Amino acid sequence: MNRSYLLNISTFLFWSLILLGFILPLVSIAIYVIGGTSESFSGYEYYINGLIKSLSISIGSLIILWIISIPLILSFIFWSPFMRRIVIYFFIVQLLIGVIPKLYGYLGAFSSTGFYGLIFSNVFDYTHESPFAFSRLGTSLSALFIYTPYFIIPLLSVLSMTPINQILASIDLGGKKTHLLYIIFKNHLSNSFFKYSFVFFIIVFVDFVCSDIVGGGKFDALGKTIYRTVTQFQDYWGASLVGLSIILFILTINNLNLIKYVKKS
Amino acid sequence: MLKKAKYHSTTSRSLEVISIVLIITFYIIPLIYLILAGVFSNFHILKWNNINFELIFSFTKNSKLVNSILQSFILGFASGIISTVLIFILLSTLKINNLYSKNDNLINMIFSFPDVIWALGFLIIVKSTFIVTGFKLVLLIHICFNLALAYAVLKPAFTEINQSIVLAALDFGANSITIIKKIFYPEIKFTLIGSLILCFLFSFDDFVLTFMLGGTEVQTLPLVLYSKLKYGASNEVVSLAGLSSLFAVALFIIVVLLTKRGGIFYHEKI
Repeated sequence: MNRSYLLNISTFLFWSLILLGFILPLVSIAIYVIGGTSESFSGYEYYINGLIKSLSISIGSLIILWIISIPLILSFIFWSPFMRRIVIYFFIVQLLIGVIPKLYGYLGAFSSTGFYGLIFSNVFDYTHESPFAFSRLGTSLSALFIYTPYFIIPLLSVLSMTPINQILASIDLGGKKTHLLYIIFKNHLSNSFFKYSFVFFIIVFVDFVCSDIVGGGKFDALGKTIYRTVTQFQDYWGASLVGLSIILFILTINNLNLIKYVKKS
Repeated sequence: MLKKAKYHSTTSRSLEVISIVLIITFYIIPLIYLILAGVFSNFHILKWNNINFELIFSFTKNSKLVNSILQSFILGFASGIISTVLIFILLSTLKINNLYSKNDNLINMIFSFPDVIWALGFLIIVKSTFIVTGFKLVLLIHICFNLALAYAVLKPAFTEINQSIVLAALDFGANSITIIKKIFYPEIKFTLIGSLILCFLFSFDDFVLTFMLGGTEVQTLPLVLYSKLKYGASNEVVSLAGLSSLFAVALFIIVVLLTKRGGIFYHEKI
């Protein structure tokens, strides 16, 4: 088969699908905001409420994520390659399991009818509703449980490339552990830590599933706000406005990273 | 062979214990619940004679659940195969013509945006054009997304292949098909299978895009599990959720075994 013929066909197909799948939706949102009408606009208050709820969940999840992940990262450096691989594989498996089955697991573990109820009501005779399910805290924790791999896997992958024998050698030569951790963080992790924190933040910020199921029917975070305004209120313009704001926010932060990278190089 | 570090002070031991406790509490216990609730008819009573094998496969009697599983499988396989094959051909022809680009900004950008934004864009397209929501639209969108995923998985594999081998083959008069069959395919066949599995899992487990763009026609497994979870999940549905998790774990183990035989993460240099 002619080389250029195969190249042309495959390239054409690839870019057509990329254009259809990624460029066209983003452009549609932007065009709809500029050229669309706002006849059924729900009002800014509804969106602002959704924004505040999303911010509270995503900032809460991010803080808890940092609290959980920092001991893991600090101890990961000193683990053997076998243990490192096990931990990374564990989080990759978490990533591959679907969101809905994981929510089943989360509610089963932390709701009043699950493990939490089993321990607290049967053992400690505590019969109040679980604070970790069907609440704002529960939404943050469920988002943390589901979306942690997006943050932790890239960080642990970067860390796993730091050779353990060099770390042991530096300790052998009398280097302080705190200084060593500082050097590793500064040289290997600082960029990735904030970059993937942002990725995690955005995913939780626009999350739809956790806020809908764990938050309860009346808890409209931003993802659910966008969904309801489109399907129930038919307010495409309002939803597009919110969507475009999020797109511009993500593009701005990504370009700041890119500018920093270009300046550094 | 590297030995485990013996330089643990009390502080680092405490850190290890804290990290392990937190991981177990937040990440392992929910998975354990999924497995136990799926296997035991009443997980509050964890006895061997309480294992209910009938419950594990009771979903097979519910035609709605079986149809949803079939739809998920069709969606996953179709989008996975099409996207993997297309990316394989594209990267092969780029490698043959020595047109490799190191710039992956577009692909990285794709992974930056959340699913809800993409779904919103498609809903606007559906509203403004003659396109209707349904299985074909969902399949097309999944193919587009799996293109990016397959590209991210297969590109490192192609980068490992020595360009001189390709040039030598071209010098000896090999055409594109021969080079793909004799050089590329044997080298990265396990990576291809790994990419197919990852794309399949993405489509199989996808919820947001399918939910917002499928309409009433599409009822994949995640959608059925979601509706049951909202309005009360029976034991058979919980066991199905547990089984789908175990299925994902089993596929991952296959990918890891392929890796050991020279798959995704390891390549022997020619």
